[in-house]
Amino acid sequence: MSFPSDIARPIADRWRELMQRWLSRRSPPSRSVTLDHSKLFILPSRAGMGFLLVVALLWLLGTNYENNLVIALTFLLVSLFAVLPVHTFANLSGLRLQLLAARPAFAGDYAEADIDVSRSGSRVREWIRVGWPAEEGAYLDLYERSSAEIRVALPVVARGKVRAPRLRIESRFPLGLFRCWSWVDLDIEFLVFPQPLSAGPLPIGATLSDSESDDLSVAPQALRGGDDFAGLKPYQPGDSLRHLAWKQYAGGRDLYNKNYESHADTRLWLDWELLGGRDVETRLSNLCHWALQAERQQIAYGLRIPGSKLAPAQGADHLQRVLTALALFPVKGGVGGQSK
Amino acid sequence: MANQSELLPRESLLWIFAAQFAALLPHFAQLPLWIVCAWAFAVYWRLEVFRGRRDLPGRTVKLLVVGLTVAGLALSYRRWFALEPMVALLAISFTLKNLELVSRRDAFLSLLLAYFVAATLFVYEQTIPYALYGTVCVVVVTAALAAQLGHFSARPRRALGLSLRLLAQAVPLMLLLFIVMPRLGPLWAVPQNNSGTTTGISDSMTPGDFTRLSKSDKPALRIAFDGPIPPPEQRYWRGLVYADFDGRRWSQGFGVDPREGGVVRWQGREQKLPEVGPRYRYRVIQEATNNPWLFAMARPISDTRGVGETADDRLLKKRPVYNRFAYDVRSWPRETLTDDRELSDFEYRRYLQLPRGGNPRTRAWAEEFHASGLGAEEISAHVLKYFNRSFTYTLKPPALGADSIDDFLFGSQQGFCEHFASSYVFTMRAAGVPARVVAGYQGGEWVEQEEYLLVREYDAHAWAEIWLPGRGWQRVDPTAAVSPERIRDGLQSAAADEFMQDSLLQLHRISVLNRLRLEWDMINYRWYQTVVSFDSDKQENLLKKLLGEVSPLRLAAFIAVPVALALTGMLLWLWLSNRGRRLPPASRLYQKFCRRMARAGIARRPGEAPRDFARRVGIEMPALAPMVERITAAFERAAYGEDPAAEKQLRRLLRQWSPRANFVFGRTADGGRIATGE
Amino acid sequence: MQKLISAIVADIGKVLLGKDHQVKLALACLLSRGHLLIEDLPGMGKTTLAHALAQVLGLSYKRVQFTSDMLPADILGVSIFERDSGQFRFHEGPVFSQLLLADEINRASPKTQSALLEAMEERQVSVDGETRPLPEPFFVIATQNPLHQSGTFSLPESQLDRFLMRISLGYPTREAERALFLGADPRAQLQQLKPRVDVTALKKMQGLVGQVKASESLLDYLERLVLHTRQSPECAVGLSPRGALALLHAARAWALIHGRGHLLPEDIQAVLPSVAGHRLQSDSHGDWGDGTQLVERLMRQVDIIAA
Repeated sequence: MSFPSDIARPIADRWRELMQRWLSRRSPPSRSVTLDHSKLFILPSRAGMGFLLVVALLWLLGTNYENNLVIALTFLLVSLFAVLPVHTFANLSGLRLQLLAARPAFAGDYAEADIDVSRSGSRVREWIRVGWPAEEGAYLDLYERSSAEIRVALPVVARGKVRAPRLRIESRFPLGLFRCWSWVDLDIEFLVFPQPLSAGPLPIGATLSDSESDDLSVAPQALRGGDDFAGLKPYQPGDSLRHLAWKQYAGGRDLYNKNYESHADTRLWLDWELLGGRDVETRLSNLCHWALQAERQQIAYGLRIPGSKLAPAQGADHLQRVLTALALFPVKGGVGGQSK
Repeated sequence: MANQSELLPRESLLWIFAAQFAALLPHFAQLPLWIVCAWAFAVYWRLEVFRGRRDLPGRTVKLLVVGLTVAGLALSYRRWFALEPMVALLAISFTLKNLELVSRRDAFLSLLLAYFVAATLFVYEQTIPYALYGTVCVVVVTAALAAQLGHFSARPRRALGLSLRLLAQAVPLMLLLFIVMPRLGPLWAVPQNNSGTTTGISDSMTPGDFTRLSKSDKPALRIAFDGPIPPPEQRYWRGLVYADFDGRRWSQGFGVDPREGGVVRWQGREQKLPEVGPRYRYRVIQEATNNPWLFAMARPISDTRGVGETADDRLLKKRPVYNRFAYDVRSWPRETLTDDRELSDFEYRRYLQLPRGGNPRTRAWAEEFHASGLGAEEISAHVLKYFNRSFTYTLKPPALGADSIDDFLFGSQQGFCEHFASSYVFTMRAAGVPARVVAGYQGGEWVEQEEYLLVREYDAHAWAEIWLPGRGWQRVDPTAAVSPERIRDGLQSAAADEFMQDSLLQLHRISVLNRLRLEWDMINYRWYQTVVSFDSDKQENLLKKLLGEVSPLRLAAFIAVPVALALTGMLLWLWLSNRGRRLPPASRLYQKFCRRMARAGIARRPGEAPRDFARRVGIEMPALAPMVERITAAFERAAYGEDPAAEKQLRRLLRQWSPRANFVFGRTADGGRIATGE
Repeated sequence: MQKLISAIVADIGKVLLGKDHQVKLALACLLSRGHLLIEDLPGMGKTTLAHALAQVLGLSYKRVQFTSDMLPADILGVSIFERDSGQFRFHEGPVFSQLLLADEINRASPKTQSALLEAMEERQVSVDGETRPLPEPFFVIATQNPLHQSGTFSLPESQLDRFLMRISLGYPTREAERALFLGADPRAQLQQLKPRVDVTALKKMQGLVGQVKASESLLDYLERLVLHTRQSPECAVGLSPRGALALLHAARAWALIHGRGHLLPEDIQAVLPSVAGHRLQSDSHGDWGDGTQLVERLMRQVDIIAA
């Protein structure tokens, strides 16, 4: 749970907790929720209270002047007020909310969830607000369509898997005098990446683990910055065809193979160890920033953090993997032992 | 709430202004011009703000405006606790609110105010057109309220439609409440709308007053009888008694008006009822006159609250009739009572009072009667005979000089009821007979098979009463001596040529229109009878009629049954409208199948085609596969091949089969599993 | 009928191993009188497919390799002055064939592309003010290299609509590839294919497509599906009415190929990615992958039975 708790008011907390427990019994988490009477609450809104006050004043006016038309008008408004909750309730009742996707986000940013709201039946729905309380949320109408997809945002602070609190779905249709609402738990879990924090330029060429033998051996010349041409060597069967010196062959000479001297791993590794002396979260944030930067500059990059290692590559999928690894890094640093 | 701080969109603003306009429109005529202008200007300003051409006024400007309006109100209205200043105050609060109409909360506040302003309209008038207009107002304000939510609702047709629908749904409950809810009397004295000028018969009579009234065909009274109906010549609706004459003007004089110390028996006080029962019982609905006097036949008693009887056999209302007012009357015609009362000295002086000088010829003429020792009745007969001989009844009497009675009796000899009454009473007094002028209405027109008698302003009449020792006050109508038609058939036939001559269109001459006017009056009358004057008495009567007896149990049932019905209806509606369009039978059967499969642990995904689902079932639960395949095939043929036989087959298959039973069977019976797994 | 179609599919399957689904799609496209766009890397068998189709269906076949210096006349044909007769004579371009393989259409200039696309749409060619009808049936298979290479003009989205389907053949399965290695030269096999039908029979088959019954329930599903593409926030542009009609038509052909007299939801689902994939535009965020994936996702969201 990531929503802030108010320590100063333990009673309020206890109450909220009780409320949550009650709610979770009443409407357990599910990716698809259909609103019905057991989940909906309805009360007059503040405007509704004002309306009642006006009605009371009108009644006084009508009674004191013994004016039947004013009294009739008062009763009309009272009756209107009595009819309204049915409509407000009907506006939400039977709506189905379904989680389509919970989009990953960076800590300190807004995490967004895509939710499909649909109605069965022909009854149109209007002015429905879906969102997490402190936020504005999204408004939608199901007037000329029977389903709509909305995106609601939740500010996320900490990285990792973040369980979203209950969503509030609310409507004041038709006159705003009643408020009908429900708390639904769509079982939303956000993957929150660390907040990108700049740690200087990309550590290109910086290697800490020269001596290490890479189990993921990739031809070094496929990488930038590592192809120091060292001369030609006569071709021998079994040599990689990719290193043939075609130019020389075309010029009528024998088949030669280009020889490369450097065997050091000069690929870009975003390494945990490069950021020694900082705390875990800062390191993760820095790595996150580097990964984004490398992706933007289209440089292949790998990730080495305690417990996992991703070979250098590039592209949206790779970035996703890298960021996920960073996001899910255990909170207590170095759980999986030191980098090997 | 976050949404309340939202800025108002254009539609919201326009709707609010429309609602304000609708609520204020009927008040425009009464409000001081500056308030109307201020309101219009505030609307203009707010729209300019919306267009981004101006800013909302700052704090100083607002304070200045508040100060100005308070000063303006203070200047425009002397009295604060009255209806008009209240309406003006509401109009001003609209204006001021418009200048800071920013959030949804402001919008709500403004619209709630609009409801109130719309209601104040009814305090002024309770007629059908006003009621209709008030309804329109409520619809518009409700639509404006609806338009505050979402841009779909703000579309004019949608908002109005929604508002109408909601209000229509509210109407049954409103009627129920209207009938059942008890009416409490006024909780405290409220300021009345007393700005209107008095209409109808005034508290004094000068020549020409009644001629003026004869030009108006506005309704004055509507009288419905319960039981016997008096013959036309008895229909004298007494309103005022003029005892004091100053040579030109007849007035009530000291001691008659209760405010001047006269004796009024207010209803509720112990009073001795005559031994014989009343001859006539009737209910009078009087239009607003802004005067306290009511109209009834002689010797009336009324049980209606706030109505009292005076010593000179009239009815008075405690407070002026500012609105249409209904009162029940019982009348004992004088001849049915034996009045052994004697006139006091004060009363003698009062009813013999004459101005010091003037009208010498009349005085001399009367003196002759007095000297010859004739009785009061004989004198009266002589005078009436004189009238009958050479006088003419006209709506256009010539102007009279300083000695108006002399001029009339011996000069012009043409006059209207007031002339006859005035000169008759003068003559009688001069001859020593106590006499007085009575003003009121005479006659009336039947509406809708004698449902009620409609008395119009032109039925205003003045006649006389003389005191006969031993018999008391007797009505004498000098006009009847001149023009009996006036009494029998009304003014229209008595003075056909002159009647309503000044009106632009001689509408009364077109009989269709006359009938329409009577119809309209009928509708108004019914409206007033059923709605406007619906009080606790009528409420009790109605409930008795509806329920047989008014017991708490029956009342509770009366309320509970319709409410329960409505509730059931609404729940039914909710349930029905939540269901999608009814699917064809084959699809419903297949859905049933899917639900069963879901319970058995394998649910069809939304976008999964039946055959794909069957394939998946075949992989995940091979034991079920053969049956599922048969069902799927049958469904496909039924739903997509539109084969009725397949639908029957599908129904049969589903009736016999349940996946759970099958599943258990398939698991336990190995042979079956092998057989179905292949 | 069913046998005949199976035989046709099997025949083509002999030369294009393991691509039954794509072969059927191509056939459905042809039967519903639409044109086919194949987006794939070179060497995936596009030409083989086109050639085999022409061979088995007995259609006259021409192949045009599009290049950037190609002119509209190179495709439509040109009037040449003949000295012998002293007259202009129209030399028909490759478009006057029953099956035209327009290879690498994105290499041609937009002008040339649109000349072909117009001919496809109108089924006639106007040259020198004279309108010449194209042969019946007329079927274009255009191929396009999905990689954005320099010097290419990929077809604009509005023009993509002219193709009933867009498919890609993709790599063969392992077994198919093994069979390919072991088997004889496909080219040789291609030559051995005998026509299974003639033009009249083909036209009759095309006529049968329209007779495949679409029930109320199915049309409901189609309607919901189309509506969903228009309403879903994932789609910037939903399926046009023309697209919806194309979908229905292609599904009918698919049902016919599978020997059914009525449409099933899975017929629609089978052709939907190919028919709608190139007509839908995903929303501007652009992180939804290409159209086909989007279509498959949308398809999963719409219930077949009820809304």
